[in-house]
Amino acid sequence: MRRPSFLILSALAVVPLHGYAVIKEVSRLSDDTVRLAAGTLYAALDRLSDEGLVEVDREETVDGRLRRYYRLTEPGASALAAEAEQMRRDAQMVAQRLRRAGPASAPSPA
Amino acid sequence: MPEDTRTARLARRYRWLLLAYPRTYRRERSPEILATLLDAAGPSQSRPAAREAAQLLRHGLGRRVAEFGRRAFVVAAFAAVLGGLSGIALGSWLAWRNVDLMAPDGTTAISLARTALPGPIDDKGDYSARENTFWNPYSNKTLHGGTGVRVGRTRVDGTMPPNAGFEQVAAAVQEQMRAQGWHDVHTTIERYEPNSSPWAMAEVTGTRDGYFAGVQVTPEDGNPATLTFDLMWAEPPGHLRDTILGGLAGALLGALLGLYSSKRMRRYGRGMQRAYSGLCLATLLMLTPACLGNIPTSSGSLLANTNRNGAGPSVYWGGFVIYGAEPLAILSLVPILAVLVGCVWPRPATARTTTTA
Repeated sequence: MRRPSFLILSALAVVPLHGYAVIKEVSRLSDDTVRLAAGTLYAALDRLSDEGLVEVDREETVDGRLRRYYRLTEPGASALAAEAEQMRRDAQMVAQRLRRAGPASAPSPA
Repeated sequence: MPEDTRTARLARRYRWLLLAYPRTYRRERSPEILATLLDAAGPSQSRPAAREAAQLLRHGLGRRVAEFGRRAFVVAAFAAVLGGLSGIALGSWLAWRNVDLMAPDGTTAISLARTALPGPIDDKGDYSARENTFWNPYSNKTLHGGTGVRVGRTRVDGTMPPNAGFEQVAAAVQEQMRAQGWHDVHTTIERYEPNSSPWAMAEVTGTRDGYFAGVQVTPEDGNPATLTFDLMWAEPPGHLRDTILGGLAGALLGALLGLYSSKRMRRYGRGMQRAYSGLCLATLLMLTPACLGNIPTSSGSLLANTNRNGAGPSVYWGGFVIYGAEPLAILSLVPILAVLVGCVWPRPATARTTTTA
């Protein structure tokens, strides 16, 4: 799973969000390292919808602007959890290998 | 700038970019995407950021590709190439179609030969059959019948001045042609193996009054030196323009036909889709030899040299008849017609019911 998709699913994990809210949440979750363009966001949302990982929750019109909210589906939540678990195992494996390589390579505590 | 004006201008520019998306997608999603774009815009932003615009175009065009299907673009690309090559040859053929089959006649050739050749000349012109100028198996050395452009040539023999080298004679011919109003006069000298006969040849070419002339001078080498004047039609003025326009029109038509047929055939089930792919492949295999043979060259087309000294006609049918390509090219009309019938044929009722359900 690509990082933008992973972050979009993570953004939708708590509550349904509309497009701009997803962009803001992804930016916040990634400490401003990922700034999604709208074209990228909707390409990812189309793909995730086709895969059944997200779906439309509801629509609202605010100040004449249509806002469509998206939510995570059950398969989406499972896929996100599986991806997170995989990343956790990978991170653990890398940390172990660095520790074994010596103190110079070991990650410094945050 | 007032806020409303700025937002309206930005929205208008975003709407232009959203035109990259297919109409159905745009109808369903553009209000939502536009709202997101306006929400995400900076407070003083009045035009889309370059990155945002690029992503919208990329995604929009990607949706269009997805809507047509990748196969449609592959089919369209091949159809454009085949259509372009056929159009190039057809445009060239159209430019040459008004050439008088019987020209140049002997009288014209002799009068023009007098303006090019130094010294006395024969008082008769030898009209050569078109197989010398245009490869056409149907010509049978006649001026009628067949399917190609028939550009004849008439040869007039001159007399070599005594004790003159062939290069000197060629220079004299060039000087005389220029003095007598011939245009684009050029001399080419070729030298062959010392033991070959002739061991060298000089050719002076030029155009005048819509005719193209090639004067060939060969040195004495056991055989007597010769001086010959070949007259044929010059390249028509609109030849290059018609060739290019024909190619562009053919490529466009081929691409549109490929896209249209691919889209229309998507209405059918898998069996018909496979049949459509087969028909496209059959058309490609049948038409490719003829189209490759028709690629224009300076002397005709890739597989059909007109043996003409100047820029010759692209042999529209030449490629079709070389190496048995013609029957295949004619047969290719069958799969093409089958594809067209499949495009306009009403969709079966059963398929419609299934789709609606």
